[in-house]
Amino acid sequence: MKTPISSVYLRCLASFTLLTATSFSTSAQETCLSGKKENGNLITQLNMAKAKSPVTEIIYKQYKLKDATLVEASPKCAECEKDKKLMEPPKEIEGLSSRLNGAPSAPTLVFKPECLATSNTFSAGTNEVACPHGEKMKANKSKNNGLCITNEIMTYQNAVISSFLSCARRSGLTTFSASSLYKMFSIESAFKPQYASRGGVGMGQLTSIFVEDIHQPWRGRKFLEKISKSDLQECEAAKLIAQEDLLSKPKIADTCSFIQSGKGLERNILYSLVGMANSWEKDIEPKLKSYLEKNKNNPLIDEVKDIALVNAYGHGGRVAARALISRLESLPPEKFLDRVKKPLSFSKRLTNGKMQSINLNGYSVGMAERQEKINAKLPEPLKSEHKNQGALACVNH
Amino acid sequence: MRQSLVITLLVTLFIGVSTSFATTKEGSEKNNIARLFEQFEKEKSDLFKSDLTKANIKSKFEATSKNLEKFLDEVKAIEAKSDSDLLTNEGNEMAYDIEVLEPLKTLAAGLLTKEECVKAKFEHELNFPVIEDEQAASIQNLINTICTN
Repeated sequence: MKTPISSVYLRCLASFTLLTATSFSTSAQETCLSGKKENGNLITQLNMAKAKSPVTEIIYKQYKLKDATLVEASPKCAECEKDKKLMEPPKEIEGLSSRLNGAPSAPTLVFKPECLATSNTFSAGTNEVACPHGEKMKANKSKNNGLCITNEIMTYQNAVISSFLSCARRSGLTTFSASSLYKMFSIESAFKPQYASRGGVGMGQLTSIFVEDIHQPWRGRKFLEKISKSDLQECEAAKLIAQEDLLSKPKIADTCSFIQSGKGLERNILYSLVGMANSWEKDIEPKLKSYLEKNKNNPLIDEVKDIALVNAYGHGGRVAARALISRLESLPPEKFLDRVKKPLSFSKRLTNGKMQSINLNGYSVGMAERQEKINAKLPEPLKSEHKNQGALACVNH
Repeated sequence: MRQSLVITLLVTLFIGVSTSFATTKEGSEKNNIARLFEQFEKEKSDLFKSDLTKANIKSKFEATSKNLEKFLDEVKAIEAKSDSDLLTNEGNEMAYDIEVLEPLKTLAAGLLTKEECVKAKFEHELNFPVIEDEQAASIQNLINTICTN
């Protein structure tokens, strides 16, 4: 009996999906976007997370990420091998593949992979930490010999950011725009979760005071509580971390709890977003209130909000960000956005007696400089798009 | 020939006068800003030296705070009138210094309960996440004094 073409196609399609996943994952494991192949700690972390972490499991399921460990043992389809033409879908079932593979289709990842890969080529001068034990590896900025970040790791990070950003937005939390988030993670860690020093830990380079701030009952705690009680599908993974942390506050000194895949990397991303929501509501919005009211119909007002909030995340913290608003609030949004590109600095004597230059908008100026460097490395046509639209070109719409 | 010489002379004279006027104006703006900055610094320094207590913080701090804001507003007004896109370092520093005093402002506006003191101390820590300038210690001392006396 002749096998109906559509049923062969379906079997081939299933097999092809698995084969593609295998080849994607295998090559992903072999190629490092950054770091050296022999430094596979982050790969081990992710494999452990895939096996044990409910957070990782939800993210993989939500975003339909491909898992090498599951697909390698799958049988090959002999009929597909015999005739490659069978791999082409018959017209009558064209377009059904996503439904057959378990519709609905996966949500879109927030960042374009080329942008993440390019950002990931930059290094910081701080130590890298290998988890779960927290061994420090000495930084070597000039040599790309750190921990290996594969495509699969980067795709997973992209999915975690996408999931948590979507949760934060649907929960009504104000955070950065996705493009500013790309700029922020690019300058904080270049999307390398393993950096840790006194100045900051992990992907968002979180500090102890930043984490403490999120847990204060009169500041950030209510945002964690909101996420922990959420019934939104988008918050399914984030709420597991929020629920656990409300019972027992994690400490930044336990570096791996803010770095390790499975909960730490994810916690770091969640806290970055919650911290922004907190900073917006408690520090930035009250200062910007009359300006927002006055310019509410200006199409550039969201950009002003974004840049005002961005600066609070930098090393000048809320003081620099609020002082910046005080300096520029007399300007209309067009001029505000133009003037904020130039440094607004002064010198101050520190407790150790040394003079230090303080720049109210040092963070946003630094982010813009990093984006210029990223642009020089981006492939076309993304490079031209990035030149015209800035980091917005790195966001999937 | 003589006519063109006269015109050239007049134009040169005009440019000279306007340049000198602009230079004088710029010089005067700088002097005024420097004077306001000095007054601002003195006001702030007096605050750090003062014996703020639970009993007097409301009146003392509010008066200081108003003066500091007034000096910054005057600097902003000079900057706004300036021909160039002027935002001075002095103005930047004054805006920054007003912000670091925020925990004291919160205390002055409140009932000085234990809870408010905890909040003020925490906000002060938040204000100096990385950079710790020399006024940080003075503000910390003031908060401690107000909250213990």
